Amino acid sequence: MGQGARLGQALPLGLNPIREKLTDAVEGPRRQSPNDPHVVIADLSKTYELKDDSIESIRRVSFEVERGGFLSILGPSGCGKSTFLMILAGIIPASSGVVKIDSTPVIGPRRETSLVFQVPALFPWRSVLGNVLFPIEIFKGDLKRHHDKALALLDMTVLADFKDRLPEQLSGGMAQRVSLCRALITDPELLLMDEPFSALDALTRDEMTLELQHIWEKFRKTVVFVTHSIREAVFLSDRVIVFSPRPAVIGCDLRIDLPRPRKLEIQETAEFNRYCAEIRASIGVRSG
Amino acid sequence: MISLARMGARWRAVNWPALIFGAAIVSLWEALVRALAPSQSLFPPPSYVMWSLYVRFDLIMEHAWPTFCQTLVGFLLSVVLGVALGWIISKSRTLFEALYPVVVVLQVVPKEALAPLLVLWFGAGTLSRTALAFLIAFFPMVINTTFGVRSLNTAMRDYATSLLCNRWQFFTKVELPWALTSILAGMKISVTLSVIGVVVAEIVAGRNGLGYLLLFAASRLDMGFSLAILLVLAIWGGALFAAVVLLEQRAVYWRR
Amino acid sequence: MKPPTMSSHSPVTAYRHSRGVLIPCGVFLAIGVGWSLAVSAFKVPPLLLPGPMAVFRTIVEERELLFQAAASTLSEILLAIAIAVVTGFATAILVGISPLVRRTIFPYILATQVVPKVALAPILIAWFGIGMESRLILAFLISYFPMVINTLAGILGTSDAMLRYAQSLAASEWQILVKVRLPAAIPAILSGVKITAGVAVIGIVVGEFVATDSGLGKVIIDSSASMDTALTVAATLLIGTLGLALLGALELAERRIVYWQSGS
Repeated sequence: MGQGARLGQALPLGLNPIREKLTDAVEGPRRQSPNDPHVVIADLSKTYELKDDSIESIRRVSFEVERGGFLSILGPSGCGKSTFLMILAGIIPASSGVVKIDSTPVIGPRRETSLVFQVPALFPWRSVLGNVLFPIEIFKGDLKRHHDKALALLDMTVLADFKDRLPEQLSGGMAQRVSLCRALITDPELLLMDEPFSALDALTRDEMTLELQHIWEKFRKTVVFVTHSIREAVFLSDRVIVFSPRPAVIGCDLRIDLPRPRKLEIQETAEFNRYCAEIRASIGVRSG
Repeated sequence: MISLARMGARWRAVNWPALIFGAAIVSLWEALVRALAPSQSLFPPPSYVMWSLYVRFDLIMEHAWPTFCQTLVGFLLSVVLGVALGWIISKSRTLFEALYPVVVVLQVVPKEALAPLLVLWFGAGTLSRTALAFLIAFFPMVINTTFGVRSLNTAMRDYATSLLCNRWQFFTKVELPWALTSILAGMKISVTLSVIGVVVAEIVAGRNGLGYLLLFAASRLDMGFSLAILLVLAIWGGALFAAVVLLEQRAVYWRR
Repeated sequence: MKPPTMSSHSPVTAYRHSRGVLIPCGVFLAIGVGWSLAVSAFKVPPLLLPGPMAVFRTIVEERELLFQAAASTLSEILLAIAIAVVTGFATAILVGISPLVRRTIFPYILATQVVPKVALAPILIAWFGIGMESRLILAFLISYFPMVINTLAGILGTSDAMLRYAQSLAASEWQILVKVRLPAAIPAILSGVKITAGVAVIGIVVGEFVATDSGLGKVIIDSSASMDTALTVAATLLIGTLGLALLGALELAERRIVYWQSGS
């Protein structure tokens, strides 16, 4: 029984939340200027302690994420990028270093951050609409007000006709779209996505990629998108950061300057493929 | 030499809270009963139970022997016949559709209710007890075997067929190992049920066996003796279950 | 795939596998006919095994007695199930909340499953006398532990993905218990209820065999002692039917409650 057996244990917390509250109370909350980076990662490391051994998953990663930008984190399987995302989400604590969102250190899950996983993990006993409204229930928000918003989101993802259906009646792509709606209903500032499309077939994947871009263009949230597909990363992002195989360090940090909005055909252009080649080369160098 | 870290790990691996809790309960039982109980015979402390076990050991073993034998025979019979029937049923579509629902219905019906009828038919001796143990333990074996054989996924079956293996090879190298998981899971259920079957039959009628002895002791209100017999039955049930678990770990070593 | 537990292969699910209800009914009919033929062909004395017609006649003749006995047995069974389900569920929640309590108590709960609890019947009668209390306590002791075990397995066995999602929302442990673990555990809990019901029947019936003062068990014991085999068979069949009906009803209820699983 993995995480399932943790009923009764609070999530492990990193920094002392009382201290931050005190500092804020005395000095007033930090003022944000729009040019401040949204997320700051400083010297982040994560080491797992096992019975006989310790596994260094991430080693001293540092970078900043700008507000409203689309960042992809790329790397081979098992290189620690999912772990990194979980640390960003506040679900796993870092071993050392710090993550700050809006200059506040991350000490646990935040309502302003939404997470989309590889597996939709919809609740099978709730309808599509029920699943989308679930975060509102947890946050004890106004269900009536968010009802219309939920319908709008479902409309946008072409799921309006399915709002009363049960998850088992949905295809993989549709379930993942519901998962996206449920992440967006809380109007998060930061959207973290952990290989959300890698369980889908290639055609659905293309569809979902376009849809994600469309949604992002509309809402302009900060997105950190983990993937192991170079083409997907280059297509979607403003910036691609490559993680090396474990222990993860930053291999390559590339700005993607392709014009937006991007159509699928852009994947045939020389410039697109140049970016892909550069990324591929950087991965190759590390593993060679 | 064991390193300090390993010793520490072993120390932590022992379930201390449970052991302490168990010891506490037994001590509490002993203390409370000694202090408050009107009659030590009716409400025996654990020490009295153990003493009864010691004093009556020969008598208990004399009656334990038929119980143990009947349990084992009933269980083994249910395994052999249950696996056989389960295997046959899962091989033929018509047999499956005809017989499986019958098996499932009979599984649901409380077979302990048959005890008096079995006594009527087979007498109050070994046969009726073994028969009841067999009947109760049989159906889970059939169900689990059927499940095990039928759950072999088509990919594995197709792969084996593509290697042109003959029936015997397929059975011993593919079907049987796969079905063993379910069969052993069924055996864990059945072994416990066969003990229940023998005990119920002994309680209903007859003049030997631990169930009978239990009735005898309880009717004399000698609860120390009764609980001692219960303890023996519990140990027997536990030992059988542990034996199947050990078998399972050897036979299905690839699981977990 | 997990091997089936005691209740996962139930009459209703089995019927869905076969081509309708026709074939199993046909098989039972065949058994009935075979029984009748065997009894007359082998000249089985009616004291040993009466034919189906004789049994049917007895049911009609003794219908008042049988009805009263069945009502008594059924009411005790239902009471035992209700108590076991409620207390078992509550215990599982309490045990589930604290890992320490779980570590301490759960091994003992598991251990009781290999002990033949029917053997408690004579002991309980010595302490509580012949009557409904002893039978209820016996049935409770037998059916309480499977309920705890199944409910606990359900609560703790929630998928990691769902739990991680709930954690990402910073949901409190209480919210997670009520909105994620419990709904996800409903299939396992209902499975526990079915097992509880099955063994509660056994507990009450065996209790009636030993504390023979009412119910179908008493009818069986009395009639077999007086060699009224037709009545014995009738009462036994009635118990079988009761058990079957009870589990069938639970199956149907399960399908309504677990509406989100089409194949179950």
